[in-house]
Amino acid sequence: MVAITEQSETKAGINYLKVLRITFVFFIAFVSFIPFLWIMLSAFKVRTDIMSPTLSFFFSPTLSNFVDAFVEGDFGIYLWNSTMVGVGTVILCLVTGVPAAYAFSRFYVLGKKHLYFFVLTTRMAPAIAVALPLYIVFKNLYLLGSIPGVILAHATFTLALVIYLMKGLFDEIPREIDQASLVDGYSEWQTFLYVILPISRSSIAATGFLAFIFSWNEFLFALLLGGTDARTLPAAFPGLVTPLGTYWGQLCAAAFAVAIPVIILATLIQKYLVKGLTLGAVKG
Amino acid sequence: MQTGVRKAPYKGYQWLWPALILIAVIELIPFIVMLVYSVRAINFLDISASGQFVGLDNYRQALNDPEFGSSIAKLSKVIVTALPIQFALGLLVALALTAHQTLRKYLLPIIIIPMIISPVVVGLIGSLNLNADFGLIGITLKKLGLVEKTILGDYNLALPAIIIIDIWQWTPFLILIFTAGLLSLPKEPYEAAYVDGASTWQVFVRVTLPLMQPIFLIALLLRFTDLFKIFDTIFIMTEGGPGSVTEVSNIFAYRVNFRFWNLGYGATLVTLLYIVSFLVCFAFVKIATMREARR
Repeated sequence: MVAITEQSETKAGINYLKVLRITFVFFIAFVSFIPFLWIMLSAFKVRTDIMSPTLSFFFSPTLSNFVDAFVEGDFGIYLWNSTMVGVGTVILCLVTGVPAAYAFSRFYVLGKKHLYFFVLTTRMAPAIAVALPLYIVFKNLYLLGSIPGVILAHATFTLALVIYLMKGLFDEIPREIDQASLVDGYSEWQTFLYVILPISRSSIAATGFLAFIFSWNEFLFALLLGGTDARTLPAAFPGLVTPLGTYWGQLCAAAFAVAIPVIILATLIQKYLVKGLTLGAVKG
Repeated sequence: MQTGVRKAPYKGYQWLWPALILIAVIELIPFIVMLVYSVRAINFLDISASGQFVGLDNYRQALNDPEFGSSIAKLSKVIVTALPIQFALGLLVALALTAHQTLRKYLLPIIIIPMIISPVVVGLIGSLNLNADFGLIGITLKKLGLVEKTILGDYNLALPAIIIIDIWQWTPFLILIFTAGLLSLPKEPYEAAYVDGASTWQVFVRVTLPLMQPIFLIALLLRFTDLFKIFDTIFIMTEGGPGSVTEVSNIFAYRVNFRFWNLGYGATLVTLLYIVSFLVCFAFVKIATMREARR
């Protein structure tokens, strides 16, 4: 593609095409951003400003929605639950998934060839098809409405992702490094713990962040399995739409709290994002 | 077999068992439970349906259920409309972005926002912005005379609105991976084509498109399956309404299970949805391996 630009820009009269292209991209960015910005701004508006039929980007900002939702309402608890679920999911998936990924990368294990297929099926299954059986099983195990229950539910799609992505990353580490360490007298577990893990620190962190984003954003599992006691932020959204009306201000404040951390995390792992979202099929 | 893979059989399992146990608990057991439920009559609101074995009755009922059929039809409508638009738009923006490094650096992080934020937030963005009384887009459309009272509550407009929100949410995903894909293409074929005097359009059709094929394929798979799963945004925006005009398969299955508590029949619906996604996935892996074998 670089080749195309260099070629076309040497031709005369092609500049208007460049202007068109830039305008187009700006237009797309504008369309992507404005509806989102509108919600983020609404989080700082009083009720009458949100429901005003005249559109205005200028208003006197207020924190009252945040106070209503997070201090006086229960959203502070939901924020805490969301964080616990996200962190718990990441820890569970990394602790079980990273050694598994190492085994898939380094050893001959049955089913190695089917790993990709397995990851695909967990990513593809409709959420309701996973949530319903989990609901039935958790009901019998008394895990409904508990944070560990929601963590286990989120692991149904993050674990396979962690294993698959980490396998790909371990594959990139030359096997000579393992062999050198074994020759030096380390056992296989020591090699993994003291040699391989330190080199792959940053990729483990990126994978962990990605798993966190998936867990943090998830809605249906949290709604069905979290109940009222382990309700996460996204699962609390329907509760603000009541027969008496919709609490738009609090919804926007909650949306702000859900969206901003993810945008920051995604910026941190931007290079890794493409790989993670396409199961390693496209390199970022 | 790759060189350096330690061959000792079964050795790798000591590394795997924590993950394997976890997978058995959270994937395998629930899957079996789902299959068991799907051949039984279980309804929490009906004492007579207390778990009797009914064979394939639930499946027969599902295949003859007009509501299920119509939910599939609505889902197909969403997929068939949203997918081509997302693809075309995604590719167009990606082509423009690959040509400008500065634009890419500053605008791509903004463009991908709809895709990385929670679908719940996207649902809220949809319902507030499309509100005809005080939403950004709603008011604008009302002023232009295109909308009378409501958008998401309108029988004719609700489904198109859902589709437009999905396009808004997911085109960035295609922009992101197409941009990455275009940037990773080898340069030599382009140089050769220009030396041969090919026009920009010819290069695009004969070089770019064929080279991008594997990326198109994975994008198609991921986008198809995500569209097939569509639930969260619809649930937040319309909950399947008004009436049932936006009640796609997953919303329907949710209603049967968690509103009517008909878990036996619900498990059957869910199993059928699972089978479809599994078959698509299987077909894709087959196609992908065949392509690799040909190379």
